Amino acid sequence: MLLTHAKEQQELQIIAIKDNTLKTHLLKLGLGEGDVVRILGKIVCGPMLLECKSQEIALGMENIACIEVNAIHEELS
Amino acid sequence: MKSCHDEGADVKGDETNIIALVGNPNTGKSVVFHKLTGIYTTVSNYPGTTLNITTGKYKEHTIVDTPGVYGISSISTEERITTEIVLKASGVVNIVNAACLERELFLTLQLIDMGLPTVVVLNFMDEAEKQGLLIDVKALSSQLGVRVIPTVAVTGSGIADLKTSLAHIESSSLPVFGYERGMDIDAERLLVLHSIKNRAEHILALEGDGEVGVKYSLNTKISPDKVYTQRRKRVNAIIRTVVTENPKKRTFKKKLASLMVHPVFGFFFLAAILYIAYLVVGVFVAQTVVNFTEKTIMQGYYVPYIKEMVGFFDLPVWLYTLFAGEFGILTMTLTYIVGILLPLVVSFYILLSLLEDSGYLPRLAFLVDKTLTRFGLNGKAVIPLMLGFGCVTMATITTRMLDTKREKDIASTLLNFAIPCSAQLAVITALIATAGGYFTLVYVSIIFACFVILGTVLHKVLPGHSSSLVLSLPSLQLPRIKNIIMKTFVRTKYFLLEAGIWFLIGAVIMSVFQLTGTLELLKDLISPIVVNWMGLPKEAATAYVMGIVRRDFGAAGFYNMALPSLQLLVALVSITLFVPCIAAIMILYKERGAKIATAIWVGTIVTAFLIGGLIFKIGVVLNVL
Ligand SMILES: Nc1nc2c(ncn2[C@@H]2O[C@H](COP(=O)(O)OP(=O)(O)OP(=O)(O)O)[C@@H](O)[C@H]2O)c(=O)[nH]1
Ligand SMILES: [Mg+2]
Repeated sequence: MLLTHAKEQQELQIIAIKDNTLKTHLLKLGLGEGDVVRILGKIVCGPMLLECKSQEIALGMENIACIEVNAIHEELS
Repeated sequence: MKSCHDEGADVKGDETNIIALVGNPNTGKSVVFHKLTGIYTTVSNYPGTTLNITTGKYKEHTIVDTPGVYGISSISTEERITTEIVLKASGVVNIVNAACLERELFLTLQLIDMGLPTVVVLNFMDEAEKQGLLIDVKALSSQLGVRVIPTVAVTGSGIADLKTSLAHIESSSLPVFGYERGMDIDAERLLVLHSIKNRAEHILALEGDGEVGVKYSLNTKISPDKVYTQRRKRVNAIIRTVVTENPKKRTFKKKLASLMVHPVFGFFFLAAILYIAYLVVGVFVAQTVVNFTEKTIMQGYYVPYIKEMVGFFDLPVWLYTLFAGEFGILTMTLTYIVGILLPLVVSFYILLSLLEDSGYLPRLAFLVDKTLTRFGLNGKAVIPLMLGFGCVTMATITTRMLDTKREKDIASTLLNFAIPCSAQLAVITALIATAGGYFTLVYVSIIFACFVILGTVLHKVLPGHSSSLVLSLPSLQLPRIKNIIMKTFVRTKYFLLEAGIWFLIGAVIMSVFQLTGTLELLKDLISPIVVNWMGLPKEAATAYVMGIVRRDFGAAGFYNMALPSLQLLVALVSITLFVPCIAAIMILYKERGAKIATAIWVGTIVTAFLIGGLIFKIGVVLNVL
């Protein structure tokens, strides 16, 4: 699913980042495909706040729509 | 010392002994720079405080503070500036945040891959400890092949160690990592790549860097993905071996941080901050303090004393007017600057510094991102916009932190149209304070509406595409008193120098205009607008003439006019929207070009008078205020 549809506090694994510029930018920030993130905050039709390892990254709506994720707890259950 | 506002990485001095302080944004580079050179450059708790280079000396070394970057490349202005310095430097001090190593080591490995002599400063060790992170410094050093020095820059811990290391910074002792192996590069390109003998440039070319690509005619575009992904994996592998986590609960900080970004409570929090700011600046300082400094000290003692002193010398009328007349250098100029502006500006700077140092601004960026996208900006723009309340000139420079030219154009325009700087706000607050809360609300709503309309129009008409938010949030921290005092002092000094000179020039011009009758002529010339269209007394024209030099100078012109409510509203709104001060226009020319600067200058005059007149007409029809 797209990160856009994730809920607050959900834990997700990044499967793909479809925009290349965003992908390289996030790689520099420490966020890449395969990494696990948790949604710390979300504004409807707005940005999301992700917790990844020890940092918090805010991503705008357009960027969120480029990230494909898998929900972790759903996989476990 | 060199702290330039120009873009570019021009280092003067001993070019053979440059030590560049390089790191991700907000890792403490400017604090370390201060500790090494004794030179203070602005230190704040948000990414992107330093946007250009500052140089200083430590022994025989030329130390260079650089803008924070997440990687070395020529993608953004900051990266270009830092890359240029790094390639010139004889040594790199890579400052990393120990509490966030996954992010930080990416740049470290890149610097090492480039073969640059590097020493790693493991800063924020206090924060790492608070978060329960145990870092094996020795293991990290051997994994990187360079010296690693743990520090807490703000307390000075570890800085002595760093100082002794500066004389022998060396390249990594590890063998060069072969990225080519995992890459699919055609033979022709591989040949060109191997012909690049400079290791740093070779790595940059492999990462598809635009400027190096052009230099070596690497025509096809290479995506940095492959190299970056491999480097990311190397970082993760290092982290696994050197960091042990023993997470500690930090519930209060976490709760406060999540409250700040909550879609509902976050706005209550913002409203509470603004209300406290209003109580401190708008009520206490603007009324009690300014009443004392302006009325009691300046008007009560200082001005009569100066008038008497100057009168004592039996000067010719023109000279008396110049020094102690209505617009006199010693009377009006000093009263405005010391009596009215100084207490208010200082209190603004303190409040702004508190916000900057707490780590609140990046959280506000998240909160208002959705709103700002309607104006073609993203949340990050809230940082220059907020700083505009301190000084629009400085904030215009800060728009460099925005990602696209379009965003920089929009933010600069909004700043110079609809954001009153602290000095201007200071006079406005003092004038509004007497008119009450309802009046303040009307004034704020009108300026806000102008901001919204202008932002929306710019977003609709300007070509191009704006970027979406990507912002790494720093952790919240208690502002350090020493830094607040230092920052306020530096900013106040700049304000006094800058405002002092322009007020002086303005006062001389006004006195000359008054003596030669030019002022009456100008008043007659603009009185159809000021009197007939905006319903203000003819005297108010003087404020707009003064406002050409600085808006706060103009606003101060209304101070002793005792205007009734509607006229006061018209005057304050129009002077808020009036031309940016000369210093701001000069920076605008430099940053955004002549076309935009001229358009803003002319546009502000038209808008100020247009909106001022409209408010007056509507006010008369509705019979309000
Ligand atoms: N707790 C703690 N805070 C630190 C330390 N070093 C710096 N800081 C704080 O970190 C923030 C950023 O410091 P700066 O020196 O402005 O960082 P910078 O790397 O120059 O930032 P940019 O110019 O934005 O790239 C400030 O609030 C400092 O007070 C440290 O060792 N421990
Ligand atoms: Mg800095």
